[in-house]
Amino acid sequence: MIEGQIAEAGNKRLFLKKKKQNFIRSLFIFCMIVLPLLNFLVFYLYVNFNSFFMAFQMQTGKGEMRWTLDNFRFFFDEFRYADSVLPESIANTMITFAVNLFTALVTSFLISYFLYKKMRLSWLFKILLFLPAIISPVVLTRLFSSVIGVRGPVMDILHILFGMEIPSGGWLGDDRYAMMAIMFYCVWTGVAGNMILFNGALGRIPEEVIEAAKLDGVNWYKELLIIILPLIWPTMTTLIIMATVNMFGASGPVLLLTGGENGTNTISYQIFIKVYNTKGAVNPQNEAAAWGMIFSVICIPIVFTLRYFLNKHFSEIEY
Amino acid sequence: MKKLLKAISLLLGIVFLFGMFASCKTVDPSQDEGSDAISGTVEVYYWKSGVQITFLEKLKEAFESEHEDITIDLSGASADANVFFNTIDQGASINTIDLYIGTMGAFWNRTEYLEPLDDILDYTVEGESKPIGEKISTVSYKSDDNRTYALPWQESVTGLVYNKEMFAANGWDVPRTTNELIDLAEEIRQAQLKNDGDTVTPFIHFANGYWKYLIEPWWAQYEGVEQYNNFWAAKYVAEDGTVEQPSNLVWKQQGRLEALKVLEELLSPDGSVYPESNSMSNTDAQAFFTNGKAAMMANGAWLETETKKELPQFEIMRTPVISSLGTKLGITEQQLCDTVDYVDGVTQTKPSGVSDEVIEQVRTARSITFTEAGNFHVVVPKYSDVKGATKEFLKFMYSDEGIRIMAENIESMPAAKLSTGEDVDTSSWSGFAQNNYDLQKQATFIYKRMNYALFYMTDLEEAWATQPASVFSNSNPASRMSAEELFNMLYNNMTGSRWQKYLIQAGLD
Amino acid sequence: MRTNVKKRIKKTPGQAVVFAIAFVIIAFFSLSYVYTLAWGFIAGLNTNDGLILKPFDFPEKLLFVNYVNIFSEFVIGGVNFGMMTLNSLWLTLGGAFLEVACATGLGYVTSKYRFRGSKLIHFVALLIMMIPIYGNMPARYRLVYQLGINDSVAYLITYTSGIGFNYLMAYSFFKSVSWTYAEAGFIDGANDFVVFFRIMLPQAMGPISALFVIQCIGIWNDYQNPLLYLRNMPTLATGLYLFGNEANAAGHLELLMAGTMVSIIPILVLYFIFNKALLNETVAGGIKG
Repeated sequence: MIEGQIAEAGNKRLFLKKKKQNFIRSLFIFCMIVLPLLNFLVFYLYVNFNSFFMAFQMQTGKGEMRWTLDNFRFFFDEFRYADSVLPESIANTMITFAVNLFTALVTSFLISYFLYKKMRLSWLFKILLFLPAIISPVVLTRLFSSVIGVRGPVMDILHILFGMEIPSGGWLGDDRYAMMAIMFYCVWTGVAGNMILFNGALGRIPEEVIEAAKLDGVNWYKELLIIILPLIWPTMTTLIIMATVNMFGASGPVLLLTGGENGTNTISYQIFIKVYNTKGAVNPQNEAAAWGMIFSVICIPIVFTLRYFLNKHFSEIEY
Repeated sequence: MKKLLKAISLLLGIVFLFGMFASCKTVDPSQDEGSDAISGTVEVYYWKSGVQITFLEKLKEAFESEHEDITIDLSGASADANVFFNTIDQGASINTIDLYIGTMGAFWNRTEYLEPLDDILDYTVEGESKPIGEKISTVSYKSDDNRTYALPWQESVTGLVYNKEMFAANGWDVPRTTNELIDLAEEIRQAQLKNDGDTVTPFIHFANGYWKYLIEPWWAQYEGVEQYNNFWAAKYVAEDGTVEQPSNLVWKQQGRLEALKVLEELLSPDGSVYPESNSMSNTDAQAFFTNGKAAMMANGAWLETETKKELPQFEIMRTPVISSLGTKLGITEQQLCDTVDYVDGVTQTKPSGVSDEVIEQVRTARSITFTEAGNFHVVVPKYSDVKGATKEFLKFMYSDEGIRIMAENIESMPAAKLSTGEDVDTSSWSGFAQNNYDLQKQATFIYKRMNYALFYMTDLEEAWATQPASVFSNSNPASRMSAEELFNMLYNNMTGSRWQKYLIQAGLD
Repeated sequence: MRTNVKKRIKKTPGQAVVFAIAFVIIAFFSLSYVYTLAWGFIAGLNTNDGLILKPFDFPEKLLFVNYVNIFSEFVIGGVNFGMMTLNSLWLTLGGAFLEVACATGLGYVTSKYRFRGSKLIHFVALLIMMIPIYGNMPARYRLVYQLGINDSVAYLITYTSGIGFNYLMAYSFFKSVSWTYAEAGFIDGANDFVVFFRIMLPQAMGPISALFVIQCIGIWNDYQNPLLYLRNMPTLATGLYLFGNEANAAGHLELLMAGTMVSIIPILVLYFIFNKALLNETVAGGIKG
């Protein structure tokens, strides 16, 4: 009898202890997720719902708020006007996307590869190449525009070396060259942009695999293409997908370099300006919401198709 | 699946609940009437543009000595032109500024937050013979309630600044008409003068340049001031007298095309404009200009204070009269030149073959000057808690005593004139400033009124201010347009869905 | 006996040529950064007219006083250089800390615990990274102003998303950490909080510090968000941009350049101290599932 009571008391204690443990566990989980959850609800769900509705609203000068499809209609009508910034914005965005993808995937990877292969002075280059990533674009663009400016050394060098004629307005001031100048900035600052990522990925490659390949007589470019590249493919696909998700948001530092002049507008810059520069009408914000929605709708199938394609044809190697 | 749906509906519920909560605001600033207290601290925001803040400090000193219970706080002054827009709609709980002095741009769409200032205009300062309203000529009233919400404080003269020393050294005459200006530009191009390795060009400007200070007067000279003002009210008056408002036909005013044609002739020939003009900042362009790299630059009275230099060798010329006005009035170019000489007082003989009526029209045209008074205002937030004190300060600012203090320290005549009608004392002013005052005294001012909803509720007319110069002088020949092409494009931009959009935004549909 | 012999890999002629070309290109980029930065520092010693007319000539006089004057002259809307630096500091440290903390917590909990919704959270976190959303800036802008968190430290709340690249890193790191240590802790009577803070978190300090530094750099250099939401509390990045645009800069280009260069000194110092850790600790992730 007493044994039973003791056993029952013991069970009760155990039960209470378990209950307390479960409570603490739930509390712990709650603490870990509460802030991100709230943030998600407010700054993601609510904002995006609101954005969705904003695209279908228009503020009239009389102070009323109208439900309308006009924001979308005006978007498509814009293409009829000779000085519309839309075609140029879309074209520039695609160009920037391609250039950024190139530097993010190709040049960053190649640079990381050469540093991984312990090229001379790689310890120094590792430090220097990462500088653009840590310095503010406000600073870099200011320096860049001076260096490539009419009084800067770059123009002189190009003129001496290649006999290039300097456009009188400078590169950023001439609509034949302004976009090129911005792209050059993107390459100049982004050339080793993902060096850290690739550095990490390359660092994880097991030494044995490389040694084995060497013993098999594999030469350096075969090693690069057949062994190294597939092993770091997950990094590549992550970058490709993340870049594609932001495809229509691709933009160089337009605000800082040209302010959208000389044919350098991008979609993302136009949307930013519609929010930042609202001295007059309130509608630019609704317009921006509509533009955003159109480009999201175009981009979503592209992203999912690409992801499907990448996953289907390239399998990940676990190591 | 059921659990997923449950989770989603719970989330949505929270989101919408939150949405309702988030739109709960505190007091709507546009309904907050503030207080008319006549004592306390008046926090002033001053936009530090080209004009130094000294005049405000002197005003403060003089005012506070006569009003012991009012303090003027000038510490918030800054060079950020956006402060007004960033703060005016935030209400008294966040925004403590009681008086804004500085460029406001299109403040007209914020009037629900502004205190009407008609009582200041109606007020007569003790010992003076006129109410303040009669001392200011460039006040604008809001088109839908005819009240004024802002008072201009600066009436800066603008125009074509020229390098007097350079002109004298080369025997160049100051042009009287646009044809003479075009010929002069050609002469300067041919001269190929050198300045420290650079060829001196007739003109220099900067990216969002000041050429509007010439093309707007030329336009107004051709069309007449009334028609110019009608543009800013989007009011089209047909030949038979019928009025259409708003109308996009105002974009077809011939005067605009004539002004563009002149600018095209000035800027498009090679070597007309200093090479980097289209990508320079205003301070860079001014530095190059004051260092003699170009003969002329469209600019304003603030050139001296902004470059922080004494500029005795520079002067703003009276705006050349647009030659096509002569054609319109049925006189020859020579007759037009003679008439200009006559109205300037250079000759005493009336030009032959020119009627008195035409002489008066040329006289008016010659005096038309663009001013940024449409941009430089003082405004008072409606929700301020010391509105009475602020208004006392404004009454002082627009009193003769205040006007004298401002004139002495800005070296320019403020927007208000002395009630006695006499000139201010310019003996301490620089030569550049004294010449500007002479121009100011005879000027018929035009300015962007912006008090009509079509303009202040939208972003219209920015293009006109900046596009023509860069289009005509673009370093890429393929990007250039002729005056007709630009004129037609600007009109086409006002048709179709863009026009509809502007009408909706302005509440005029 | 030498133990750290440098392994000189013998290169084939083709490889040598390619490596040589790569060396030249990489050296060119590296030198261009050094040159540009050096010019920037020298430009800060020049005069305003010198910078406008002949910016790439070596200044006649080196005005070191410019670097002192910025602390009093470089002012935006009543906020001076020192205050801007302070704004940058609280925004950067606070924002980076929150981002990384939330990502770490979320990543840990979803990778190690099975609870109702853990899979959903992970799925949603990944899904969000895949959905392209543009144009929500206006709605976000309105919300921030409606909540009244603009122009205040409360704006830090927006840095609690916990998802994105940081989450991926945290998740995959914790996934790879053995649960045995935790179990040992539980057996010893520790609760989940203790296990996390005393056992699991210390193991993650490497990658977490790297994430923290990367976040710091990003937020320190961000000029767009403070431009929109912290107009009256400008950070260094925003202040530099605004100062460059304004009449204040008129006649004071030398201050602009000096201020510009001074603003990057803290970051450069931090970088040169921590660069080894930064370059070694990050691990690439992949989007699985």
